[in-house]
Amino acid sequence: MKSFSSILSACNFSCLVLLAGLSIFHDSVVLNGVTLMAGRFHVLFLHLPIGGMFALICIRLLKNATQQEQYEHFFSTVLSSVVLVSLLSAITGIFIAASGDYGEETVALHRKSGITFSVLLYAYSVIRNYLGTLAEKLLFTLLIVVLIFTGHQGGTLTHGKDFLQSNKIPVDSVVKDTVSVEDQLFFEAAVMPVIAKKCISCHNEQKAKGELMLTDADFWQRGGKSGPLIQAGDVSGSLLMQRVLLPDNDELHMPPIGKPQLTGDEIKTLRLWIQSGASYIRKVKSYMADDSMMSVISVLKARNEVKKSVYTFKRVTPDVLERLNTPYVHVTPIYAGSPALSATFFVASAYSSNALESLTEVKDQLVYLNLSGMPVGAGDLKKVSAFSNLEKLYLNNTKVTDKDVLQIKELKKLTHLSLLNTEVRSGIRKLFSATTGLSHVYLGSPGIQTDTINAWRKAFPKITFVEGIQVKETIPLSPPVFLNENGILADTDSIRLMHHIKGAAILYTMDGSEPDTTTGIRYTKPFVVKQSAAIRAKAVKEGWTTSQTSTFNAYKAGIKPKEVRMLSRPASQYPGLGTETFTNSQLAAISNTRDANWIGYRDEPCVLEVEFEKPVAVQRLVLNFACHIPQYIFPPTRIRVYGGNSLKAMHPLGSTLLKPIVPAEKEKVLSDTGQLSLSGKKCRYFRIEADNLSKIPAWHPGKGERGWLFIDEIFFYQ
Amino acid sequence: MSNPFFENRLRVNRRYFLGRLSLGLGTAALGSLLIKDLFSSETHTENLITQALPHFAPKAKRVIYLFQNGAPSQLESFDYKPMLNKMYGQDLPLSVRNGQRLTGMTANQDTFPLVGSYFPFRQHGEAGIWISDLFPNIAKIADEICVIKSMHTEAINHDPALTFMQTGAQQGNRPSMGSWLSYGLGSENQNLPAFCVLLSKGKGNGQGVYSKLWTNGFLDSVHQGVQFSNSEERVLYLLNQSGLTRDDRRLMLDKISELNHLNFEEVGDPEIQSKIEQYELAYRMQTAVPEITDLSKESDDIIKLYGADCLIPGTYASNCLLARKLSESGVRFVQLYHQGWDQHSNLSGEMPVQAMDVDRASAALVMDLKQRGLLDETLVIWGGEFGRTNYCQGPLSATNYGRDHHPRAYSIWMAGGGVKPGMVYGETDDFGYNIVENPVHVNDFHATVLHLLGLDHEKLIYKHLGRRYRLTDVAGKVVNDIIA
Repeated sequence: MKSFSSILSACNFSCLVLLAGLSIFHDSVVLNGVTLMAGRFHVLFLHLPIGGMFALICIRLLKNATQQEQYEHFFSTVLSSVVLVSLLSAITGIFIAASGDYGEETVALHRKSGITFSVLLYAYSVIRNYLGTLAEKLLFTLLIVVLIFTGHQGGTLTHGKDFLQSNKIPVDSVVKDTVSVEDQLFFEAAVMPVIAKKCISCHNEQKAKGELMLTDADFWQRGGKSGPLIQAGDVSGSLLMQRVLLPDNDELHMPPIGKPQLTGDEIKTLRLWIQSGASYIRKVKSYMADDSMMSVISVLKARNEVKKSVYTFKRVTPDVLERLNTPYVHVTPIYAGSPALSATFFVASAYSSNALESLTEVKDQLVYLNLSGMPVGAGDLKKVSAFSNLEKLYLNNTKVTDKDVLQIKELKKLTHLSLLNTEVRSGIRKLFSATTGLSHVYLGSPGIQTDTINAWRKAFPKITFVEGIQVKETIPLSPPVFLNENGILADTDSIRLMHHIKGAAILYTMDGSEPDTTTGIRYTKPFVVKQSAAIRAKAVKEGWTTSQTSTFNAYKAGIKPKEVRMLSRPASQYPGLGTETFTNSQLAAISNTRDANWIGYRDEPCVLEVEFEKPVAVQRLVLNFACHIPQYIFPPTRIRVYGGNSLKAMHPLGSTLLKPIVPAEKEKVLSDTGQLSLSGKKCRYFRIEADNLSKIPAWHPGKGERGWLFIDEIFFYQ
Repeated sequence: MSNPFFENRLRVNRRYFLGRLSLGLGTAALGSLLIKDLFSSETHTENLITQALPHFAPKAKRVIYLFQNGAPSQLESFDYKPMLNKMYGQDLPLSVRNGQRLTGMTANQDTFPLVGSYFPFRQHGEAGIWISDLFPNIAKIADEICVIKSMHTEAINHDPALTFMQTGAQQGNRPSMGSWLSYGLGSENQNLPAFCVLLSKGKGNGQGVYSKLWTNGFLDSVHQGVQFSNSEERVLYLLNQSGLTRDDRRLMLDKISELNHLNFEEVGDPEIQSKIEQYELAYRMQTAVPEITDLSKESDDIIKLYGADCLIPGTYASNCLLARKLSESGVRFVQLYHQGWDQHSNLSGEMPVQAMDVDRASAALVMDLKQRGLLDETLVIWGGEFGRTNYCQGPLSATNYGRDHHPRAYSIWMAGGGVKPGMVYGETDDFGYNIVENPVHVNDFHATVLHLLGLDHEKLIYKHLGRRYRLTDVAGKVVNDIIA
């Protein structure tokens, strides 16, 4: 143990001598590998004296609890170690200072105080046993003071001047709050915040690594040890960007590995600034025409906006909010932590003036109020006028009048006022002269003419007036709607029609012709049809174009055969419901070709054999089929009917050729019918043949293929 | 939660068990974790979330998403590529396709003949946005909309792409966007669901929509989208049966609620609580919904604005009008789906019909919100799940062609809600195939929408099965350039 102490004191002494030499010749220290490396150890050693001194204080505090001899031994050993690290710290400090990257003034102070501390500590370790108690205590206290001072200077060198006191976010210290973003210098508003956050701690007046200072524009233009920082307009030629863009592990990469790195957006900002000429004096607004800059500017604006909307009034407590909120009034902070409140009323039948009255409790905090659709009473806006910080007020679809609205003219903060569909008339003008802050007014009320609004636009150029939309063009009505669900009607069933638009008249025909004002029958009430008919209806109304035709195929049920047999094969993928498909009184939907009530033919025509219980005199036969041209489903080309009282003796009863589809009908999609008048001869058996299109015409995408034939119901009438 | 046995049965899972185990094994390690949770700002944010408030000042309060289901072709709507008309019929250069996988529907085609839009394009508005003649009314609001031409997605088929667009994941087990917003922002109007879904169908080739697209996923089921009916009664079974008064209903709900509470005490399933809340919501909806779904008081101008169809339940136009009314009444997220945009063939025949269905009403919605002073605070989104190929699928003729799925680039537009009006963002190459400028991934789109609503997409999280989930999962970047 003895030997350890003596080694320590020998070390201490030699260090003292070295330090003495260095402190005299610190200007002549030569930088080489050894001194550079030794210098870097300063970063390690400098913390040890601080810890050491702290340990010494602790040991002193325990003095009374330990035996004198033990205490003395313990204290002196630790003290010697602290002396050693202090001296080493001072020596290495001189080396690192020689690298010259630091502000001269601070370094000089730090060096002097550091040397003073180590020398003084050495002296203390030697002479403390010869000092009186008071003198010893004084000297020890002085050492602590010098250490703190030295440490602080060192901290300033590493972290910058305001490191301790500053509680501001670095970005904010640069951007000036009072000037709008557009009028700030781009360099100050966009570039400097990046540098302040990531670079300035090593490149300032106190600590100018690489002789580069970045604290203001003059220093930027001066550059550093390696030359000019920026080549205006030349991103890859600018040293700043070169260093930033080097790989992370490159020694010259900036910021050095381990320090916070620049983000992609920050690099983009620097790049765009250099690209655009690296101006130190251009304002933000002068960049606005440049699309590529917009992303940077929008971020700046957003940042500024957050600042602008800082409200000074007091925040209400959560219990107040809880009390004010009901299912019919929603009162909420505009975002988490904001003192500003918005209130919206819902469900007209639940509205009461008292609910509005209760908001008086938050009259200072309310910035947004929506009373749209509420039965706002005559005195209610008087209450609103107490909400002195109100910015947006919505009164759409209310019965408020000019007089009511004029009560809010004292609202100085009001910017938005929505008055669509109200009783407001031209008397509202007084409000615009009375208020100062209004920027947007929404005035879609039938009582206010466009001319009036145009005059206001001239008189109050600061206000944007938004008119209600008036549709001048005439557009088509929607077609009438048939309310019958099933097209197969019993004798008492009537046809019911409706139209969704009030005042639209419905005209219809039953003979298959297009209804118009001369041929059409005006629909007034449900009507009964005597025989199957395609009812065609249109809607007309003044100010509108006539609707398209909607068609409803109404079928009287007719007589039912005993059995239907299929003599040809339908396509396997559209078998329908088998033979009952033809007579089950269910019509298939045209919108759905997979409807089970369709039976589809393609490779073979449709050939059916129909048997009745006893001979019937069929006057008319109706066959319902699909016409869905885009889906290759065509009407039958020809329908033939044979009849007889035995299957062996069948005679032709009638035949019809259907009009072929023309190119203009290529989008046609509807259910259609083929109708045949028969002789009325009594027959028990019938054969029905419906031929599908053998060759789709050339204008159709399926040209040359066989057309599909989709049939659902067949009716027989006596 | 009085019964720890049931609590365990419901809440203990593998991760929970392992987490607890580590408490016994390494108290020290866990201690540091606990302290981290105590002081980190993360915990703070989670508390804020439960208050369901925006994280910062929002631009938009509500969203109306006009989803064009089936993927409308960008090349016939908003991405004008005259080069494709010039190179009509020529094969898609390999350098442009660049090895991209194709769907099974066209991968085996011998050639990939380029085909340009059959419909002419014109520039519209002060912004000079190129819009095809199929959308004359949307063209009129060119100065209100922001067209993003550089959307891209990861999925190549409808179901995964649609699910990705709606939930941020291709598998259907995550909460839908509307559910996230309901969770993050809460309901404005307690008399209506915060998330409503309206469906309509065009005449074009359609693709399915299914309720997994408006699922609450792992979020509480009160955040689930509520699908409206296309019948005259827009919310089925909402009204009291004849003979049952509102007081009777109240009495009945109170009794059922008592029973449910008893059951909850016993088994502790949180879904029971949700059920109680849903009954109460339905009770309040009985007053609010008839007021909102009654379109008969709308003025003639409004009806003409949206088109005559807007009074016929189940049409796109009526859904747009209803969407405006719901949104105006505080519904956070109104989701429309319009089917029929999958033009693999007969594009020049089907697309005009599809466009006619949506053009007038889509534009009307934007204008209507504007005249009410609500466009500022309502974000309207229009678009599909991916784009369509620049080459023809199937037979190519001078007047007709088809286009296959194309995930690499597609166009959508947004209006209002703090989005820059009259702007085109992003650009595709001359072939309309690859994005050459400002790509916007689906995750970026989600991050941006959340941002507009005042939500930080990295902080809107929900812990489920031991890990934190976000709508944007682990990706997404806010597109600041389109924010006003």
